[in-house]
Amino acid sequence: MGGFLSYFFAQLLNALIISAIYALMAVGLTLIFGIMKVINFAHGEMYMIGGYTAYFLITRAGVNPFAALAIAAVAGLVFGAVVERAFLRPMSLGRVERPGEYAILITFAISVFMRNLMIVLYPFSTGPPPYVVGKVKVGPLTIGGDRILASAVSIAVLAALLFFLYKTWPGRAMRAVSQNRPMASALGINPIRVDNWSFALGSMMAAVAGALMAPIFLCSPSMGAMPAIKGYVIIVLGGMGSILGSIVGSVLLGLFESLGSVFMPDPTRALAYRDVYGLLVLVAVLLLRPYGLFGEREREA
Amino acid sequence: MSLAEAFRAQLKPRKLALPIAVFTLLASAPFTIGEGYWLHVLIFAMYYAVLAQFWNLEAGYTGQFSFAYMAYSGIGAYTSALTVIHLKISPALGFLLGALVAMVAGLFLGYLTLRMRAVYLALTTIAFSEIMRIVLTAEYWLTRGALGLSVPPLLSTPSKAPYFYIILGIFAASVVVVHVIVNSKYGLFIRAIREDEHAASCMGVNTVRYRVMVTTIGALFSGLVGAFYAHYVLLISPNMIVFSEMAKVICMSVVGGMETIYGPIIGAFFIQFLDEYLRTMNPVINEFFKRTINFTAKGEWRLLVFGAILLATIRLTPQGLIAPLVSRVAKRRGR
Repeated sequence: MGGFLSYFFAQLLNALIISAIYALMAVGLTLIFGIMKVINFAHGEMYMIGGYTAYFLITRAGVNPFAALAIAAVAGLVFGAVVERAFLRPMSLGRVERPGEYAILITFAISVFMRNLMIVLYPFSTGPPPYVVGKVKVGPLTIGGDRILASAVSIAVLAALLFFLYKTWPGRAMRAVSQNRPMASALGINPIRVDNWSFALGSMMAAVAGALMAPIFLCSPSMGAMPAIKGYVIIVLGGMGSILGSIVGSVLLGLFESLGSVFMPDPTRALAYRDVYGLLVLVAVLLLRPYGLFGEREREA
Repeated sequence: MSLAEAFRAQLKPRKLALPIAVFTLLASAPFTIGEGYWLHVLIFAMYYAVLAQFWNLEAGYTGQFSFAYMAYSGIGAYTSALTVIHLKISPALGFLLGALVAMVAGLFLGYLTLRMRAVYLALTTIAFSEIMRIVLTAEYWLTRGALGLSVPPLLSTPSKAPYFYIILGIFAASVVVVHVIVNSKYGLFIRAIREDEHAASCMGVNTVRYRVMVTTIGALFSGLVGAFYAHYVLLISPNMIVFSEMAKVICMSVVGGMETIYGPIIGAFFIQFLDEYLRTMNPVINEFFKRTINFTAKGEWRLLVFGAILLATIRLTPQGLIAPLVSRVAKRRGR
């Protein structure tokens, strides 16, 4: 029984580490949804851009891995800003007939385009060498240095974002727009610029997640699919648009997945079904609370 | 207009002339283009046309962005294949069973997503498709996983023509069904739901019934063509439910023109033929880029072309590429 218990706690620790990365994806999505009311269906492709940028810089250009990580973040930021300007701006300006449907279709199309672009450019499944060599042993569990780095960087980025949103003027402006767009606009905040910043920041966070996970899960054109889906599950759990809710949702998802694997006897199947638990939880939550675990039921006028 | 009235209203010679001419032309294909490769392409075009039409009925007309259509098709395919293999029933019965199980899945998903707005619905249907794909891959003992499951053929003849007529029949039925629904009062109801569900329900539209109805009918037909796919291609794998397949169906609908009846059909034929053309052109395009910018592509170009077309269409001409052309021609003819 002791063996089971230590295995259980090892899985728990593992869950917390992986949920830091999930949180990075989910908070990025939440930031975009909170301000633009858009679910970014191309979020996985932002993750992919981060992963590939890091991979090419490290293996082809010989850039220092940590510098590559920073450049990947900038690449995500720039890409997000460009995508918002080129494809989502007409929506913010009210030039689109059905904004909700347009947003779903256009971000989906960006996702299709980016993924297929990578299939033409570089479809191989490869990854950069690990950022940190070495392992840490905790009980029966060995945690790779990269996983520890990934969760540490994620937590740092999240903390920086929270500081930015709650303690600085531009961050307050972003929150103001998310709470009441016309009012914020009346007070002199340019909501269009805030849209641009939120999309850029959200995609930057996905790119950082992608760069961090590239040595662990490898780069491929569809590398962003699963992380993005996890992000969607989490924001629904966390009630769409609440940053704190999506952080809690990430921890919950990490727990469901790891504990689900504990109780699955067949190890190969446990691995395959890891990704299913979160989805089942999503379906169950939507069945019982269609507006998310922490979401407020929207009043219809 | 009730369904019967809507059906009768379409039975006017002026309205029927063009569709009948097109279908006669299509039905003569095995004699004109032979039973080779191009008939195969036509069969696939019709498979996608059915999916694109019902996706359009759900997303274009009702405003429910479902990403579950390939999952319904996969459910139909695997149900039919597994029952035919293990229970030794005839493939024809397997077809019906596949369609029925897919329909039940659609009914379930329809009720599950009932209280959701567009975005939640899209996310839930993505989750549903992923669950299906993972389960089909993981349950190796039953489905042979990613290796693929060999399926017995529907007919004992090697000829493609009978398959062609079966899918033509399903395709024709789907055109009639979508046409009648859209032109009946139910067509008005679902469009009202799309514009404003709350208002529609206040005006006495039973939104629950019609939303579930659209999903269920779509799932039924998708399951049916999925079962056809299984017994025609003879090898099915969880790759049926993969992202790029759903993207292709959506691309067909969007390029043809959402919220039109003929748009997804023309879009499906256009994209499927473009797909085959680009497949054969791939070496030529590769050669061109190698010579001009010394770049060697690692993968196929056709998927990128679809992505670019989809992106450009949604951004620049949200009504689609084909529907505006058709309405312009129709207007000129009417004048």
